[in-house]
Amino acid sequence: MIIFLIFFITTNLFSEWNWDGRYYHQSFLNFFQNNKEFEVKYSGLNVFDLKIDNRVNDNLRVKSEIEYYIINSQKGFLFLDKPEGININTLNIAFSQEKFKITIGRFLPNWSKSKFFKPLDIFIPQTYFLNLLSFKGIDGFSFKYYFSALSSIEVLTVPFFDVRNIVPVKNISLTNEIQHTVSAFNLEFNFSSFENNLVFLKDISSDNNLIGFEFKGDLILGVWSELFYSFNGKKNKIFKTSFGSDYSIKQKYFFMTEFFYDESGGEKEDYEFLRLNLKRMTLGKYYAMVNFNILSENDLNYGITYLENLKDRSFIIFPYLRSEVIQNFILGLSLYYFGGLGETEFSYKNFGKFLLNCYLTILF
Amino acid sequence: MKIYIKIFILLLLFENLYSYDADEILKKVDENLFFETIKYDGAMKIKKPNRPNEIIKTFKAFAKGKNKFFIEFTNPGDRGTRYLKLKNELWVKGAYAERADKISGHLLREPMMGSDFSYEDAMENEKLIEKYLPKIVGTEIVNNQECIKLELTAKLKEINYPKRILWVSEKNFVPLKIQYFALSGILLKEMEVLEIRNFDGKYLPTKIKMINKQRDSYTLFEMENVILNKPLSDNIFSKQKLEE
Repeated sequence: MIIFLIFFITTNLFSEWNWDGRYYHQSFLNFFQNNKEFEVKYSGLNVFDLKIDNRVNDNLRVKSEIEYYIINSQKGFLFLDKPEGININTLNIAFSQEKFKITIGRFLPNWSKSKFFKPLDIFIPQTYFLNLLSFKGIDGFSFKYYFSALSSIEVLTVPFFDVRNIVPVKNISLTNEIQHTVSAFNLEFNFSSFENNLVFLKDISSDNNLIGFEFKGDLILGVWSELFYSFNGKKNKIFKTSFGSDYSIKQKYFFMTEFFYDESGGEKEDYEFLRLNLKRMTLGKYYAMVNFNILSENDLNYGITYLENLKDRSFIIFPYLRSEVIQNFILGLSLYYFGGLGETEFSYKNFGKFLLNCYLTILF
Repeated sequence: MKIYIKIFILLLLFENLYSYDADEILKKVDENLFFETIKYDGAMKIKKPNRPNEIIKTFKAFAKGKNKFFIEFTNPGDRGTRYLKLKNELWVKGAYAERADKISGHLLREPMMGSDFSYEDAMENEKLIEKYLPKIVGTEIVNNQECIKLELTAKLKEINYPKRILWVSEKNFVPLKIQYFALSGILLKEMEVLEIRNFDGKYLPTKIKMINKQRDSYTLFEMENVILNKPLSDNIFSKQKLEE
């Protein structure tokens, strides 16, 4: 990474370069209620993010996204190991020719097509309801060959990759990182108005494999789906799938729904144990999400999302609004209500009853 | 004798004016707006109601025929956001994203970059004559120019705007004003052409104002450094360029 950093700094001196900055602030207020006592906990996060793109020549580029973060307080929802620090989210050298592109360094391969539940987003497991903006990439090598305007094959190798998301084991909490070398390919092709991807990943250090397929396209509704199947030998196998669709009325009212099945999910009694794996996005097996969004005058975007664990019947319902108050100055607000009977996935004691999330983004 | 000559000239002019039927006028409109390739620097000034300032977006645009276009935004905040349109499909790559995402289904009806143009407006690629039945409903003066007023009724069911009214300049067959209607007859949008430039005999609107009658907002669209009908590589219109 140091070599990349030096290369990145020196290329600034003799190449055409652009930079873009972003500051964002997130505030989380957790509201807890124990019998008649009411408690509020605050967490806050400030991030300064700088994206630099050096174009050495028409074929060679050095790109980076580096952020500096400070946590105001993490009494409530937010949890990070260090209260402040620098993250190098991406830093890579990309060489491209007419039909191919080679990338070496830290980059973010986004392999998902779903909007909410993303089983095939193996390299960037994202939180599914918080408004987080930046993610740390993976260190590896990628070769992407474009065999037509819309079709391509990407082959990548990641020497040290935490494979907890792809290990085909049911109902287990893998608390410590498992760093393995993985190789993968992603074949993208178009059929009719559908964009399709076939994914295969091989964990070279053990015998974990992953096959995936996803598509996105148009019928009367917009539709998409992801299929995830990981296996190790004949006995250990995990299947996950998500599928969704959207529809709009009068270019103003938008409906979206998504379902998710995760064979590796556990039962209610397993949740405490499964929560130890911070990489797990969900704990159960069956989920449904419904979103209704209104795009009003002045780009005020507001709506409501309902997410339910269909097995334990716990849910999150969150109204939200987002507005670009002036150009490049975005304000957002979400209020999450966690519901359910007893200790279920979303009615979890550490979440509290409500969570208020305010965020501000300034782009420059 | 002079009076006969004047009447004759007037008759000739009148004859010339209405020697085109509605179909032919619409075909001429289509012809005028059709180009082999185009490359330009664009700007969108978006004015929302109750907002004191305009939002300004700048971009570089490339198009080949009516089926291929590529836009790269260059203003701070959106720099690196790119759109690729191939036939009826659209992809976007966000400023901070590494990979392009297909805009599918009903998201296509959302406004493009907060403007008064929807993605579907931007993607419109069929000739008007293929989608609408035209009818001449009169003549009117727009921007001090005599215009033929054409009413277009959709031939197809699934269409963004089931009815349009065009004010077509008699001089160069460029529509100087267009009104877009919903099936219910409600006026949705109105487009005014504020500037037309002649590029080797082809008249191209280079300054357009799109007014959203429902939201009371408008977008001023301007083109600069226009290069028409010069060869453009097909590589520009690919995912590779989008994900560069």
